[in-house]
Amino acid sequence: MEIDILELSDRSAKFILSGTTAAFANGVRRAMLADVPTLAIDDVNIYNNTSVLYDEQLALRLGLIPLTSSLEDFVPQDKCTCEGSGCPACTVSLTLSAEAGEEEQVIVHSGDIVSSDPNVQPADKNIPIIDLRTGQKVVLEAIAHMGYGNKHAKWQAGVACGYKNMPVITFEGCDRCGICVNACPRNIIQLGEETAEISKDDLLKCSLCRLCQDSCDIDAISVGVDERSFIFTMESDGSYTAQQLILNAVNTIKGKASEMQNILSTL
Amino acid sequence: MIPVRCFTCGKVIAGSWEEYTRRVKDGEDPAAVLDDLNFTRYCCRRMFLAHVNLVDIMAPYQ
Amino acid sequence: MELKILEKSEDEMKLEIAGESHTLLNMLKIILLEDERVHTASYDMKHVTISEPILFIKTENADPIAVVKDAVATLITECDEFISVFNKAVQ
Repeated sequence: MEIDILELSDRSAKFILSGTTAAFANGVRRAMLADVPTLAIDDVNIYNNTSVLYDEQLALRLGLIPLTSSLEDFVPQDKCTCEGSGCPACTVSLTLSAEAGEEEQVIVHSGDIVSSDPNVQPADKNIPIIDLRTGQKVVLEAIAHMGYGNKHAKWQAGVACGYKNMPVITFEGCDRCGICVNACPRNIIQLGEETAEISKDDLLKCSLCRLCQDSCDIDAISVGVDERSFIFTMESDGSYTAQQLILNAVNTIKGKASEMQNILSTL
Repeated sequence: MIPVRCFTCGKVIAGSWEEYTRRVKDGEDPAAVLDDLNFTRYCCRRMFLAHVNLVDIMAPYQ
Repeated sequence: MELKILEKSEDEMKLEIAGESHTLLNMLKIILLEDERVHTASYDMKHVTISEPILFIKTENADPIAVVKDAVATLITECDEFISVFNKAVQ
Protein backbone atom coordinates (compact mmCIF):
# COMPACT_ATOMS: atom_id res chain seq x y z
CA MET A 1 0.00 0.00 0.00
CA GLU A 2 1.25 3.45 -0.89
CA ILE A 3 -0.09 6.91 -0.16
CA ASP A 4 1.02 10.05 -1.95
CA ILE A 5 -0.48 13.21 -0.49
CA LEU A 6 -1.23 15.84 -3.11
CA GLU A 7 -2.95 18.44 -0.96
CA LEU A 8 -3.56 18.56 2.76
CA SER A 9 -5.14 21.49 4.53
CA ASP A 10 -7.14 21.86 7.71
CA ARG A 11 -10.48 21.10 6.07
CA SER A 12 -9.65 19.18 2.89
CA ALA A 13 -7.28 16.59 1.50
CA LYS A 14 -6.39 15.00 -1.79
CA PHE A 15 -4.20 11.93 -1.99
CA ILE A 16 -3.35 8.96 -4.15
CA LEU A 17 -3.95 5.60 -2.52
CA SER A 18 -2.38 2.76 -4.45
CA GLY A 19 -1.72 -0.93 -4.06
CA THR A 20 -5.07 -1.77 -2.53
CA THR A 21 -8.53 -2.95 -3.57
CA ALA A 22 -11.55 -0.87 -4.52
CA ALA A 23 -13.30 -2.48 -1.55
CA PHE A 24 -10.79 -0.97 0.88
CA ALA A 25 -10.95 2.46 -0.76
CA ASN A 26 -14.74 2.31 -0.68
CA GLY A 27 -14.70 1.21 2.96
CA VAL A 28 -12.59 4.23 3.90
CA ARG A 29 -14.92 6.52 1.93
CA ARG A 30 -18.04 5.09 3.55
CA ALA A 31 -16.48 5.19 7.01
CA MET A 32 -15.56 8.88 6.61
CA LEU A 33 -19.12 9.73 5.59
CA ALA A 34 -21.17 7.59 7.92
CA ASP A 35 -19.20 5.66 10.55
CA VAL A 36 -17.00 8.24 12.27
CA PRO A 37 -18.93 9.53 15.29
CA THR A 38 -19.11 13.30 15.82
CA LEU A 39 -20.82 15.66 18.21
CA ALA A 40 -23.98 17.46 17.10
CA ILE A 41 -26.83 19.13 18.92
CA ASP A 42 -29.64 16.61 19.31
CA ASP A 43 -31.92 17.81 22.11
CA VAL A 44 -32.95 21.43 22.52
CA ASN A 45 -34.80 22.81 25.53
CA ILE A 46 -36.38 26.07 24.42
CA TYR A 47 -37.24 28.43 27.25
CA ASN A 48 -38.22 31.38 25.12
CA ASN A 49 -38.55 31.83 21.37
CA THR A 50 -40.41 34.85 20.08
CA SER A 51 -38.54 34.93 16.77
CA VAL A 52 -40.15 34.17 13.39
CA LEU A 53 -38.53 30.74 13.17
CA TYR A 54 -40.47 27.79 14.59
CA ASP A 55 -38.83 25.91 17.44
CA GLU A 56 -38.29 22.89 15.16
CA GLN A 57 -36.57 24.96 12.47
CA LEU A 58 -34.38 26.57 15.07
CA ALA A 59 -33.44 23.15 16.49
CA LEU A 60 -32.59 21.84 13.01
CA ARG A 61 -30.34 24.82 12.31
CA LEU A 62 -28.57 24.30 15.63
CA GLY A 63 -28.15 20.59 14.93
CA LEU A 64 -26.45 21.14 11.59
CA ILE A 65 -23.75 23.39 13.05
CA PRO A 66 -20.54 21.30 13.23
CA LEU A 67 -18.98 21.10 16.68
CA THR A 68 -15.30 20.37 17.20
CA SER A 69 -15.21 16.79 18.50
CA SER A 70 -12.71 14.41 19.91
CA LEU A 71 -12.92 10.64 19.73
CA GLU A 72 -10.83 10.29 22.89
CA ASP A 73 -13.00 12.53 25.08
CA PHE A 74 -16.46 11.24 24.17
CA VAL A 75 -18.12 7.91 23.51
CA PRO A 76 -21.01 7.42 21.09
CA GLN A 77 -24.28 7.42 22.97
CA ASP A 78 -25.24 3.86 22.01
CA LYS A 79 -21.95 2.55 23.43
CA CYS A 80 -22.01 4.64 26.59
CA THR A 81 -22.35 3.05 30.03
CA CYS A 82 -25.35 5.31 30.76
CA GLU A 83 -27.28 3.32 28.12
CA GLY A 84 -28.48 6.39 26.25
CA SER A 85 -29.88 8.38 29.15
CA GLY A 86 -27.16 11.01 28.79
CA CYS A 87 -24.07 11.50 30.94
CA PRO A 88 -20.93 13.68 30.78
CA ALA A 89 -19.13 10.96 28.80
CA CYS A 90 -21.49 11.18 25.83
CA THR A 91 -23.21 14.59 26.02
CA VAL A 92 -22.25 18.26 26.16
CA SER A 93 -24.55 21.09 27.14
CA LEU A 94 -24.52 24.39 25.24
CA THR A 95 -26.57 27.50 25.84
CA LEU A 96 -27.71 30.32 23.63
CA SER A 97 -29.49 33.44 24.76
CA ALA A 98 -29.99 36.53 22.65
CA GLU A 99 -32.31 39.46 22.65
CA ALA A 100 -32.88 42.23 20.12
CA GLY A 101 -34.28 44.67 22.68
CA GLU A 102 -34.65 48.13 21.18
CA GLU A 103 -32.42 47.37 18.21
CA GLU A 104 -33.89 46.99 14.76
CA GLN A 105 -32.02 43.86 13.79
CA VAL A 106 -29.72 41.42 15.58
CA ILE A 107 -28.33 38.40 13.76
CA VAL A 108 -27.40 35.59 16.14
CA HIS A 109 -24.35 33.65 15.01
CA SER A 110 -23.00 30.22 15.92
CA GLY A 111 -20.17 32.04 17.73
CA ASP A 112 -22.74 33.29 20.27
CA ILE A 113 -23.34 29.73 21.51
CA VAL A 114 -21.77 29.21 24.92
CA SER A 115 -20.40 25.73 25.47
CA SER A 116 -19.86 24.08 28.85
CA ASP A 117 -16.77 22.29 27.48
CA PRO A 118 -13.95 24.52 26.13
CA ASN A 119 -12.88 21.77 23.70
CA VAL A 120 -16.34 21.57 22.15
CA GLN A 121 -17.01 24.73 20.17
CA PRO A 122 -18.83 25.51 16.93
CA ALA A 123 -16.30 24.86 14.15
CA ASP A 124 -17.48 27.97 12.27
CA LYS A 125 -18.19 31.11 14.27
CA ASN A 126 -20.11 33.08 11.64
CA ILE A 127 -23.06 30.85 10.75
CA PRO A 128 -26.23 32.94 11.03
CA ILE A 129 -28.70 31.01 13.20
CA ILE A 130 -31.55 33.44 13.54
CA ASP A 131 -32.51 36.98 12.63
CA LEU A 132 -34.07 38.83 15.58
CA ARG A 133 -36.03 42.06 15.20
CA THR A 134 -37.12 44.61 17.81
CA GLY A 135 -38.42 42.94 20.94
CA GLN A 136 -37.73 39.36 19.83
CA LYS A 137 -35.89 36.99 22.10
CA VAL A 138 -34.39 33.48 22.12
CA VAL A 139 -33.27 31.56 25.19
CA LEU A 140 -32.42 27.88 24.94
CA GLU A 141 -30.26 25.04 26.16
CA ALA A 142 -28.93 22.61 23.58
CA ILE A 143 -27.58 19.16 24.33
CA ALA A 144 -25.06 17.69 21.93
CA HIS A 145 -24.66 13.92 21.53
CA MET A 146 -22.04 11.81 19.86
CA GLY A 147 -23.72 10.11 16.91
CA TYR A 148 -23.18 8.54 13.49
CA GLY A 149 -23.59 10.02 10.02
CA ASN A 150 -25.71 7.07 8.91
CA LYS A 151 -28.45 8.24 11.29
CA HIS A 152 -28.57 11.94 10.42
CA ALA A 153 -26.51 14.28 8.22
CA LYS A 154 -25.71 16.46 11.23
CA TRP A 155 -23.34 13.75 12.47
CA GLN A 156 -21.66 13.43 9.10
CA ALA A 157 -18.03 14.49 9.48
CA GLY A 158 -16.89 13.95 5.90
CA VAL A 159 -18.22 16.03 3.05
CA ALA A 160 -18.01 15.07 -0.61
CA CYS A 161 -15.63 12.18 0.00
CA GLY A 162 -14.90 10.32 -3.18
CA TYR A 163 -12.32 8.59 -5.27
CA LYS A 164 -11.67 7.78 -8.89
CA ASN A 165 -9.35 5.28 -10.46
CA MET A 166 -5.95 6.42 -11.65
CA PRO A 167 -6.20 6.96 -15.44
CA VAL A 168 -3.77 5.10 -17.67
CA ILE A 169 -3.61 6.65 -21.13
CA THR A 170 -1.32 5.32 -23.83
CA PHE A 171 -0.58 6.75 -27.25
CA GLU A 172 0.56 4.19 -29.83
CA GLY A 173 1.19 4.93 -33.50
CA CYS A 174 0.13 8.56 -33.10
CA ASP A 175 0.50 10.73 -36.22
CA ARG A 176 0.31 14.05 -34.32
CA CYS A 177 -2.85 15.16 -36.12
CA GLY A 178 -3.99 17.10 -33.04
CA ILE A 179 -7.67 16.14 -33.13
CA CYS A 180 -7.53 14.73 -29.61
CA VAL A 181 -5.96 17.94 -28.30
CA ASN A 182 -9.12 19.81 -29.27
CA ALA A 183 -11.42 16.96 -28.26
CA CYS A 184 -10.29 16.92 -24.61
CA PRO A 185 -12.72 18.99 -22.49
CA ARG A 186 -10.10 19.46 -19.77
CA ASN A 187 -7.37 20.57 -22.21
CA ILE A 188 -4.73 18.26 -20.82
CA ILE A 189 -3.43 16.67 -24.04
CA GLN A 190 -0.44 18.34 -25.65
CA LEU A 191 1.46 17.62 -28.85
CA GLY A 192 4.89 16.30 -27.97
CA GLU A 193 7.94 15.66 -30.16
CA GLU A 194 6.70 12.37 -31.58
CA THR A 195 3.26 11.70 -30.18
CA ALA A 196 0.52 13.51 -28.32
CA GLU A 197 1.14 13.33 -24.60
CA ILE A 198 -0.21 14.15 -21.16
CA SER A 199 2.02 15.38 -18.37
CA LYS A 200 2.01 13.47 -15.10
CA ASP A 201 0.26 16.23 -13.13
CA ASP A 202 -2.36 16.76 -15.82
CA LEU A 203 -3.18 13.05 -15.84
CA LEU A 204 -4.88 13.47 -12.45
CA LYS A 205 -7.32 15.93 -14.02
CA CYS A 206 -8.52 13.34 -16.57
CA SER A 207 -12.20 12.53 -16.06
CA LEU A 208 -11.98 9.30 -18.10
CA CYS A 209 -14.57 10.64 -20.55
CA ARG A 210 -12.82 8.84 -23.46
CA LEU A 211 -13.63 11.67 -25.89
CA CYS A 212 -9.98 11.62 -27.04
CA GLN A 213 -10.21 7.88 -27.70
CA ASP A 214 -13.38 8.33 -29.76
CA SER A 215 -12.01 11.32 -31.68
CA CYS A 216 -8.87 9.50 -32.87
CA ASP A 217 -9.33 8.26 -36.45
CA ILE A 218 -6.50 5.74 -36.28
CA ASP A 219 -7.28 4.33 -32.80
CA ALA A 220 -3.92 5.37 -31.45
CA ILE A 221 -5.23 6.30 -28.00
CA SER A 222 -6.32 3.86 -25.37
CA VAL A 223 -7.83 5.08 -22.12
CA GLY A 224 -7.84 2.68 -19.22
CA VAL A 225 -7.61 2.70 -15.45
CA ASP A 226 -5.30 1.30 -12.82
CA GLU A 227 -7.71 -0.80 -10.77
CA ARG A 228 -5.51 -0.75 -7.69
CA SER A 229 -4.82 2.97 -7.57
CA PHE A 230 -7.24 5.67 -6.44
CA ILE A 231 -7.26 9.45 -6.43
CA PHE A 232 -9.06 10.35 -3.23
CA THR A 233 -10.65 13.72 -2.50
CA MET A 234 -12.30 14.53 0.78
CA GLU A 235 -13.41 17.47 2.86
CA SER A 236 -14.21 17.73 6.52
CA ASP A 237 -17.05 19.79 7.98
CA GLY A 238 -14.78 21.08 10.71
CA SER A 239 -15.55 18.65 13.52
CA TYR A 240 -12.18 17.00 12.85
CA THR A 241 -9.24 18.13 10.75
CA ALA A 242 -9.00 16.34 7.42
CA GLN A 243 -5.99 14.37 8.62
CA GLN A 244 -7.72 13.26 11.82
CA LEU A 245 -10.85 12.29 9.93
CA ILE A 246 -8.99 9.96 7.55
CA LEU A 247 -7.23 8.28 10.47
CA ASN A 248 -10.45 8.10 12.48
CA ALA A 249 -12.21 6.45 9.55
CA VAL A 250 -9.57 3.73 9.25
CA ASN A 251 -9.52 3.30 13.02
CA THR A 252 -13.30 2.83 13.01
CA ILE A 253 -12.98 0.06 10.42
CA LYS A 254 -10.21 -1.48 12.47
CA GLY A 255 -12.41 -1.26 15.56
CA LYS A 256 -15.23 -3.06 13.79
CA ALA A 257 -12.85 -5.77 12.59
CA SER A 258 -11.32 -6.24 16.05
CA GLU A 259 -14.78 -6.50 17.59
CA MET A 260 -15.72 -9.15 15.05
CA GLN A 261 -12.46 -10.99 15.71
CA ASN A 262 -13.22 -11.09 19.43
CA ILE A 263 -16.72 -12.44 18.87
CA LEU A 264 -15.51 -15.01 16.33
CA SER A 265 -12.99 -16.44 18.77
CA THR A 266 -15.79 -17.14 21.26
CA LEU A 267 -17.97 -18.98 18.71
CA MET B 1 -32.44 32.15 6.57
CA ILE B 2 -29.79 30.51 4.44
CA PRO B 3 -29.66 26.73 5.05
CA VAL B 4 -26.72 25.79 7.27
CA ARG B 5 -25.45 23.06 4.96
CA CYS B 6 -25.58 22.34 1.25
CA PHE B 7 -28.58 20.04 0.61
CA THR B 8 -26.57 17.77 -1.65
CA CYS B 9 -23.04 17.42 -0.30
CA GLY B 10 -23.44 18.60 3.29
CA LYS B 11 -20.74 21.26 3.23
CA VAL B 12 -21.33 24.03 5.76
CA ILE B 13 -22.15 27.04 3.61
CA ALA B 14 -24.01 29.44 5.90
CA GLY B 15 -20.77 30.84 7.29
CA SER B 16 -20.02 32.56 3.97
CA TRP B 17 -23.52 33.95 3.42
CA GLU B 18 -23.00 37.37 4.96
CA GLU B 19 -19.75 37.97 3.10
CA TYR B 20 -21.39 36.80 -0.13
CA THR B 21 -24.41 39.12 0.17
CA ARG B 22 -22.24 42.07 1.18
CA ARG B 23 -19.90 41.65 -1.76
CA VAL B 24 -22.67 41.05 -4.28
CA LYS B 25 -24.46 44.17 -2.98
CA ASP B 26 -21.25 46.13 -3.54
CA GLY B 27 -21.44 45.20 -7.20
CA GLU B 28 -19.19 42.14 -7.53
CA ASP B 29 -20.07 39.31 -9.88
CA PRO B 30 -21.68 36.43 -7.86
CA ALA B 31 -19.65 33.86 -9.79
CA ALA B 32 -16.39 35.60 -8.95
CA VAL B 33 -17.35 35.88 -5.28
CA LEU B 34 -18.23 32.16 -5.10
CA ASP B 35 -14.92 31.26 -6.78
CA ASP B 36 -13.13 33.45 -4.28
CA LEU B 37 -14.95 31.81 -1.35
CA ASN B 38 -13.82 28.38 -2.64
CA PHE B 39 -17.19 26.99 -3.62
CA THR B 40 -16.17 24.72 -6.46
CA ARG B 41 -19.14 22.35 -6.68
CA TYR B 42 -22.31 23.48 -8.38
CA CYS B 43 -24.48 22.01 -5.60
CA CYS B 44 -23.06 24.49 -3.10
CA ARG B 45 -23.09 27.39 -5.58
CA ARG B 46 -26.80 27.02 -6.28
CA MET B 47 -27.52 27.26 -2.55
CA PHE B 48 -26.31 30.87 -2.68
CA LEU B 49 -27.62 31.78 -6.13
CA ALA B 50 -31.11 30.39 -5.59
CA HIS B 51 -31.66 31.51 -2.02
CA VAL B 52 -34.38 34.06 -1.20
CA ASN B 53 -34.16 35.35 2.34
CA LEU B 54 -37.83 35.07 3.34
CA VAL B 55 -37.02 35.98 6.92
CA ASP B 56 -36.83 39.63 5.83
CA ILE B 57 -40.48 39.49 4.82
CA MET B 58 -41.57 37.50 7.88
CA ALA B 59 -39.45 39.31 10.47
CA PRO B 60 -41.84 42.17 11.43
CA TYR B 61 -44.47 39.57 12.41
CA GLN B 62 -44.44 36.97 15.13
CA MET C 1 -22.15 -5.96 16.59
CA GLU C 2 -23.78 -9.34 17.03
CA LEU C 3 -22.91 -12.49 15.15
CA LYS C 4 -25.41 -15.27 14.57
CA ILE C 5 -24.67 -18.45 12.67
CA LEU C 6 -27.81 -19.16 10.69
CA GLU C 7 -26.60 -22.32 8.94
CA LYS C 8 -23.38 -24.22 9.14
CA SER C 9 -22.01 -27.39 7.65
CA GLU C 10 -18.46 -28.63 7.10
CA ASP C 11 -17.77 -26.33 4.18
CA GLU C 12 -20.64 -23.84 4.15
CA MET C 13 -21.79 -21.11 6.48
CA LYS C 14 -24.44 -18.41 6.65
CA LEU C 15 -23.48 -15.76 9.15
CA GLU C 16 -25.67 -12.85 10.16
CA ILE C 17 -23.65 -9.79 11.18
CA ALA C 18 -26.13 -7.55 12.93
CA GLY C 19 -25.44 -3.84 13.10
CA GLU C 20 -22.98 -3.74 10.21
CA SER C 21 -23.26 -2.43 6.66
CA HIS C 22 -21.64 -2.56 3.24
CA THR C 23 -18.58 -0.81 4.73
CA LEU C 24 -17.36 -3.90 6.54
CA LEU C 25 -19.11 -6.65 4.57
CA ASN C 26 -17.83 -5.61 1.16
CA MET C 27 -14.27 -5.42 2.43
CA LEU C 28 -14.58 -8.86 4.02
CA LYS C 29 -16.09 -10.35 0.89
CA ILE C 30 -13.25 -9.15 -1.33
CA ILE C 31 -10.61 -10.40 1.13
CA LEU C 32 -12.38 -13.78 1.35
CA LEU C 33 -12.47 -14.11 -2.43
CA GLU C 34 -8.70 -13.65 -2.58
CA ASP C 35 -8.29 -16.64 -0.24
CA GLU C 36 -7.44 -19.89 -2.07
CA ARG C 37 -9.53 -21.99 0.32
CA VAL C 38 -12.69 -20.06 -0.53
CA HIS C 39 -14.98 -21.38 -3.24
CA THR C 40 -17.72 -18.77 -2.92
CA ALA C 41 -18.13 -15.73 -0.73
CA SER C 42 -20.91 -13.23 -0.90
CA TYR C 43 -23.22 -11.18 1.25
CA ASP C 44 -26.77 -10.05 1.04
CA MET C 45 -28.50 -7.10 2.56
CA LYS C 46 -32.20 -7.17 1.77
CA HIS C 47 -32.77 -3.55 2.75
CA VAL C 48 -30.20 -0.86 3.53
CA THR C 49 -31.77 0.37 6.75
CA ILE C 50 -34.07 -2.30 8.11
CA SER C 51 -32.33 -5.63 7.54
CA GLU C 52 -29.11 -7.15 8.78
CA PRO C 53 -26.45 -8.32 6.33
CA ILE C 54 -25.88 -12.04 5.87
CA LEU C 55 -22.48 -13.34 4.84
CA PHE C 56 -22.46 -16.56 2.87
CA ILE C 57 -19.30 -18.52 2.46
CA LYS C 58 -18.44 -21.85 0.86
CA THR C 59 -14.96 -23.24 1.34
CA GLU C 60 -12.85 -26.04 0.00
CA ASN C 61 -11.56 -28.37 2.73
CA ALA C 62 -11.48 -25.71 5.40
CA ASP C 63 -13.53 -24.63 8.36
CA PRO C 64 -15.57 -21.57 7.30
CA ILE C 65 -15.20 -19.90 10.70
CA ALA C 66 -11.41 -20.19 10.57
CA VAL C 67 -11.41 -18.71 7.07
CA VAL C 68 -13.54 -15.73 8.14
CA LYS C 69 -11.27 -15.29 11.16
CA ASP C 70 -8.25 -15.06 8.86
CA ALA C 71 -10.05 -12.56 6.63
CA VAL C 72 -10.81 -10.32 9.61
CA ALA C 73 -7.16 -10.54 10.68
CA THR C 74 -6.09 -9.54 7.15
CA LEU C 75 -8.41 -6.54 7.32
CA ILE C 76 -6.87 -5.43 10.60
CA THR C 77 -3.34 -5.63 9.17
CA GLU C 78 -4.52 -3.66 6.11
CA CYS C 79 -5.86 -0.93 8.38
CA ASP C 80 -2.63 -0.86 10.38
CA GLU C 81 -0.67 -0.61 7.14
CA PHE C 82 -2.84 2.32 5.98
CA ILE C 83 -2.32 4.16 9.27
CA SER C 84 1.46 3.73 9.25
CA VAL C 85 1.79 4.58 5.54
CA PHE C 86 -0.48 7.61 5.93
CA ASN C 87 1.41 8.93 8.95
CA LYS C 88 4.67 8.55 7.04
CA ALA C 89 3.21 10.35 4.00
CA VAL C 90 2.00 13.28 6.13
CA GLN C 91 5.44 13.95 7.61
